[in-house]
Amino acid sequence: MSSHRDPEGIETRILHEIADLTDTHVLEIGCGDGRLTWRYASVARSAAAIDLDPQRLATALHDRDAPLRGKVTFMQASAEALPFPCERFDRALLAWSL
Amino acid sequence: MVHALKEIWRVLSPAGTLIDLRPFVASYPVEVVTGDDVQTAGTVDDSKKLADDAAADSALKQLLQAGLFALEYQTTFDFLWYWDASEEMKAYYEDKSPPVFIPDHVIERTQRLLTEMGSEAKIRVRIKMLISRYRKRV
Repeated sequence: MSSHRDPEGIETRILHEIADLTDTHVLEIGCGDGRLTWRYASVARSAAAIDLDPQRLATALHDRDAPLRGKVTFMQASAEALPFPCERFDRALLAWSL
Repeated sequence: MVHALKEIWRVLSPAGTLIDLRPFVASYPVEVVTGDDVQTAGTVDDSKKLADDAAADSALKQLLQAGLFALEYQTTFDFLWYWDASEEMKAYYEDKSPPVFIPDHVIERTQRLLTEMGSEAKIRVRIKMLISRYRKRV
């Protein structure tokens, strides 16, 4: 399938303007195939990206660039029971998922 | 949904922020574009998601009223999604849960415009997005 989402980077630009993700610990809920994750991961201190769909998470893991392996974690989890300690993140990103 | 938002509140640092990014209009224009030429072929009707939007808005309102978050900033923008072929776009939307059906006349007009506008023409779906920033309150 050939489709291109936000090739102009409008979403990315606005996300960075509003969220200020630089050097932060980010929790992304509903990361899907990691499309949005890759657009901020390089500036974040760390990113934990969760989704319920194992197939889409497998795609995200497959696409993960080597330089980001140390700071981007993908996992299957529900926002109803987040597997993280209290006050772990600076930013929580609901990515098309609320 | 309220419980999920309370979980997010729990894992955020005291000065943390929640960013909510989602489509907020249920009807998306389908356009065919090449260069500066933009022709509208019709719309994708995603109105089945309106109930989910209402539930999300209600959940957020409850947390704002409970004093757990404060809305700091909100704006809208257009998310542009390009497709090479109408069949691919149609298959994608029909595979969504719940499925979104694009009327046949929209697909037909899209294909006609693609033919008329030349090999460089692309299909573009314009999705109106809402992005909101909420500050955690303690």
